[in-house]
Amino acid sequence: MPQKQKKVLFVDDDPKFLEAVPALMHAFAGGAWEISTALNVGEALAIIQDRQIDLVVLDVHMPVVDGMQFLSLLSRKHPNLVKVVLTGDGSEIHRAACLSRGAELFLEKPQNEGAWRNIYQALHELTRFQPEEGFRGVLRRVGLQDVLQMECLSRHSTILEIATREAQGCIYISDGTIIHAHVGQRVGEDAFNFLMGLTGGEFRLKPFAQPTQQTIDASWEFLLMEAARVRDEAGPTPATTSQPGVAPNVPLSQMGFAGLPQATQFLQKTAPLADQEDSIKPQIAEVLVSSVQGDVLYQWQCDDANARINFLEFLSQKSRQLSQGLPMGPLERMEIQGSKSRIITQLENDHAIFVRTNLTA
Amino acid sequence: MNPTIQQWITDNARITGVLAFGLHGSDKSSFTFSCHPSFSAEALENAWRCVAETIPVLQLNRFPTARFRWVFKEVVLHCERRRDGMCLGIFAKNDAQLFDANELDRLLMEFHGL
Repeated sequence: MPQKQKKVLFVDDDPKFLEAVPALMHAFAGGAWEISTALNVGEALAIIQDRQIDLVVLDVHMPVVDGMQFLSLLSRKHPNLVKVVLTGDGSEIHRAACLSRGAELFLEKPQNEGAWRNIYQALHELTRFQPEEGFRGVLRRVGLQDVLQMECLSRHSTILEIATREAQGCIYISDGTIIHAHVGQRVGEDAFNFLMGLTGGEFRLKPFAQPTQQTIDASWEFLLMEAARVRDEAGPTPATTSQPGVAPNVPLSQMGFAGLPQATQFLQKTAPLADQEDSIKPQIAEVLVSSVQGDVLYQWQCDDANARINFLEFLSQKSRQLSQGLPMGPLERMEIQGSKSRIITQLENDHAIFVRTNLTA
Repeated sequence: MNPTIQQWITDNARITGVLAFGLHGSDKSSFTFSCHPSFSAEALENAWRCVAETIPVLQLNRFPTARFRWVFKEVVLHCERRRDGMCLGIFAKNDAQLFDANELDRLLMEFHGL
């Protein structure tokens, strides 16, 4: 049976690259790939939305929204989309940053045709890989700001309806421009800032219809920055429904995470590290429990919850790749031990746990 | 890749419960060795590449990299990284009856001495 043609998108701000490389890849693929190209993130998002892309190959250095930011956006909105970075800057710091943001591969642009064939083969292997669902498929809730950014970058026309227990409002986007917002008696930027300041609630995208009035003329970038400023000045707003937030300080023992005690025993059966003293005592320094969507369910002394959630997502993705073709079963946890600290991460179907302990003599 | 360590891996390939080994050098060179037919060379190389990619991400997050292990339902992948950056991976059965923890300690200790 003939294999389904894979849809591959190359994103690079260099038009010469976009002319030459897809042609080369097309020759290697021999009709197995349908190749699209985009010069910037806006174009790329529109193509991803329209064509159900299987694989995105993107550059790191691009103007306005660079490859790193784009990776983060894609990981949130299209968690199952396979992403590869192909760059001329193969520095270790970029490599680690891209992999931790959801890139499956970090490849350097080669200089000769033979090496390009290797690139093609690596990409071809990836297109055969089918991601799973659940936490192991790296599902993450997309925030209101992300959706707005996506819709504007993609130059879409849509109505974003936002509802909480207390209020219901809409933001109108026409060809990627925010033209109107209303909630209760508020309209215009006042309504937009109010809606963006809500930390709880649900939102959904509706087909565009012309509003009765146009009350906003500022750019979406300015509006988002201004909304962030207003939100910061107003201070934290209590969550009203299920949006990401921080749960009250409930002891972990009351939260039913049965696997944790088992995980905390880790490495006690193995020899200490070379520079580790015998009389060390672990003290819990940081705890984070995340839902499958990337919401913080519980956190204690966690300075950067987003970084921890990104790491859990990275582990989820990497463990799937790691066990591919091997009879290993699903990942239950990862344990990391240093001379001064230990870390345990545990991935379950509906939540993930991150615990860091400091080791003191 | 260090031939002494490769030979050491070959010498320890018959330990009960050990399924495969991986070795990653600070110069990015890699070596894998399968001790079980269910661990194909291709899949093992892919798995070991994933481990190599994890190290810089751990460093980026300022996590230790001296010792980490992936606990899968059926297999535990023990990774030990020396001060010179050489990283050893031991794929072993996740069953205390089938893989002796004392053997693991011995292997890790010997690895540091090689």
